[in-house]
Amino acid sequence: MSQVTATLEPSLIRTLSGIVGERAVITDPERLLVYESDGLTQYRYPPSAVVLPASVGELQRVIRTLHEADRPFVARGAGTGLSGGALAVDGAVVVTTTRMNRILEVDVENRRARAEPGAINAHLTTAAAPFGLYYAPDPSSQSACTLGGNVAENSGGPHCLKYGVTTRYVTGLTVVLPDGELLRLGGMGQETPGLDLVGLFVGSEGCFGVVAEIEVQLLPRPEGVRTLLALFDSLEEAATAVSRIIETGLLPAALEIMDQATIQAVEDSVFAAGIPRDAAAALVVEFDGIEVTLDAEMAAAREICQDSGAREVRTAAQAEEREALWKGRKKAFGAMGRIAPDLMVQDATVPRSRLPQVLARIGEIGRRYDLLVANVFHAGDGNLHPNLLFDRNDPDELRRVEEASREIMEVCIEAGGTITGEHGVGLDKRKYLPLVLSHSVLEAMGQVKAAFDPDGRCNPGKVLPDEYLISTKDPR
Amino acid sequence: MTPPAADTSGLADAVRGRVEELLGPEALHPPGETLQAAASKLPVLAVPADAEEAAALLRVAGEEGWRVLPRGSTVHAPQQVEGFPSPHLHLSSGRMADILDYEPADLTIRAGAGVTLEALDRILAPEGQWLPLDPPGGDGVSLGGVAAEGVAGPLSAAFGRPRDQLLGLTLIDGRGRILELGGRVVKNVAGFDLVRLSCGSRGTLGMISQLSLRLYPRPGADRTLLWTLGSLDDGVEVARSLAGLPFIPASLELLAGMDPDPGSADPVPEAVVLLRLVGSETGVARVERGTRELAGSPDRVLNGEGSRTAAIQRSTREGTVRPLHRRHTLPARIGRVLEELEPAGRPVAVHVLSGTIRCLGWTPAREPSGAGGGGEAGMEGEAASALLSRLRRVFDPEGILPGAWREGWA
Repeated sequence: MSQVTATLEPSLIRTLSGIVGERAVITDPERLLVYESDGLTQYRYPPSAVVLPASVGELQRVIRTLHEADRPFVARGAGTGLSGGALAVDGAVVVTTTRMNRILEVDVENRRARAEPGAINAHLTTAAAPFGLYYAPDPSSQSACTLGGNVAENSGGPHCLKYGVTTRYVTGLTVVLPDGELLRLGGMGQETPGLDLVGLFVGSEGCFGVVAEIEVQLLPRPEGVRTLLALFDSLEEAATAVSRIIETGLLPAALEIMDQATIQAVEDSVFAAGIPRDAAAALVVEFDGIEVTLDAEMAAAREICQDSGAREVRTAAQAEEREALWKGRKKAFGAMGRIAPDLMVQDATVPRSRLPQVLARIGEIGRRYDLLVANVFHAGDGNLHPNLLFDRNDPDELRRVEEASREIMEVCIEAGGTITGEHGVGLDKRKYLPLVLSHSVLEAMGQVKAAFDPDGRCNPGKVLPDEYLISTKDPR
Repeated sequence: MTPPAADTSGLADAVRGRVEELLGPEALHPPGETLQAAASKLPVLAVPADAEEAAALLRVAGEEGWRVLPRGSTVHAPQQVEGFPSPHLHLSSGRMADILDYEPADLTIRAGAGVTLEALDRILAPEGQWLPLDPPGGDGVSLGGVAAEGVAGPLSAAFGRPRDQLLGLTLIDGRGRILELGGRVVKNVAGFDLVRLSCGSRGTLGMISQLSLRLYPRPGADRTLLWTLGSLDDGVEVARSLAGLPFIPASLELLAGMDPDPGSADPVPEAVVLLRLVGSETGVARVERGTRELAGSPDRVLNGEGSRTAAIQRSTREGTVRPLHRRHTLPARIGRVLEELEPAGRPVAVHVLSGTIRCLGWTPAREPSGAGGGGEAGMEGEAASALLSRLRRVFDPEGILPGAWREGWA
């Protein structure tokens, strides 16, 4: 699945170079290859050019120039997305925000921060740490992914169980609309009257414009943290423990499961966390908050795990043990590279109580298609990541991956869930969207997209199926 | 089509007749009222039974050019909206008041828009769960109203705003389309976030018929600590020091010129600071000790049901007093904004951690600097209004719904 590079007119290249400098416009086909794909490697679309603005002013002028030249464009952060959302379909120009990477302000008294879109997620927490504050959404790719990308995808992460996803923390945005107009949305107080355009823009997957500046809320760092690792002989038992923990009224900061395939991949890698390779499932339970409350919560969770059939429950006594566990969990996707050349990271959410049945069905689908499925997921949110391992040079295996993916989506929808919990629709899941949204909703979404982007030049070919991507000045 | 300029008794009768013809007399309020008995100057209030009926009404309204005002419960829905004179038809969700789906193990619920917060809590309490929303108006407000208004109460400090608890909703837009948005799972990014757009849209995009909400374990301990201060400045000082706690309290409020106990015979204090803590008894006790170091011993402590009931009374008052002026600022600027508002004995309620300031029953003489509240979505300029107008036309091309957001509506 790839396209040939389209070329950009020399006069347009000169204009763009005039704005951002010659070195910040890439047109060399070899160097463009870096941008032909994102974290979902089976799609490849080389852009016609890559432009790297260094300021809001430059970004606005670049977008206005592309508008006047009637060129499609795609905003891109670190390229860690997992739905093909930043691919340069239709020979689009990639506008990458990696040079706009500053944390602009950490406002301690008001517990908020302002950052440029290319700032790396983890860097914000690093900047806030000296003041006892942190930024809650923590996608597994947080050491590389950008805040602008997080806004575009409404990213989640392991600790979103207790704290919620990106949209809860974004209080204001400065955006460049597809025609180059600069708009400030929300900001200052948390409650801005009128339509919640910040909420609408977050998760719009780069289809409404480009984020130029982000204002977020920070949280005080919890006083204490406790982490527990429970090992099970079956994946369903681990999922049952998760349901019971939630049912009991405990609210852990994170509830994460890794299955045996994932455990083995992690333990074979440099991120080994000391989890026994023969365990069928590892459940990580983390509590944070007021120090004196944590031991009682841990004891309750330990008892539930044991009652659910855990063969062993360990407590990460030292900070190093906890860090090793989390490193193993967060780098699991990378560790899977040892097992197969390609990885289809799937993403779907089901009601928590349906996890055991859905996991059993996914296991069955994997066996039927003769595919290795490695599960590593945010169990507390019911947010599954069945990862299908394959080699894209094997056309038959690629076909089986596609078919198994669709069946997995159908199983999740049947259980009352949805086709993506945090990775977005992008290019990859457009075909599944009509499985969860009605014709009327898709039509309304197409009209909303057209209200922001009447010419259909902003991240073309994403999120909505083609028939709903209307390109008209009049959304009626 | 431009809606007719002024209501006439003849048109009201025609609207009433059409509603009855389409959906039967039970869809009119009061139910079964005959055409002859209807006071012709009163607006027609339709109470559709479900989304399909509401959609049928909105489609007819579009064809006929009726102005339609969706309203949730009657607690704080206005009879009139500035810039939207004499709606021909009021739409109520009063008959959509069923719990549709509740699986306690999932910590989610799906309910009709007409279910009130109070009715919901009666269902959740036996399961040891709650919905931590305390919007202005108290617990008699309907879920649809809470979502349509989108306005948060003091609990948003710890739990977020109505938008943060909404997993999905059904919006019947001005075209009469039934839009089932979002879902009932806690993480969902399938398509653009029209749930967030609908929340707080105040009937400008359509009527909400049902919602899916995220729930929380009901806290074992609920405690409100109350400090009475001799001046507003002292109140601001105490509130600011408590805002610096390294824990997030359930809520932190500053009241000026207001009786924290409506109905008590005590003189109204200059300022009162209220800190509400919820969680396990051990955790609440630990934070309470921390607050004493910062603000000294509280003058009063409310526990359990007392803490909860007092909070509901405060939010009821904040939602029902008129006029009501709401301003937002950064928490650190609250003192300065209050100085400029010059409340001097007049009632003000401040949600300290969100920077929300409400003037209750009076209108500030001038707009304070450094506070928002006037402009829509914090946006100004031609590009902004053009975008907003394009967005509204997606959902309401005929302009039958209240198109402009107006101050003083909360």
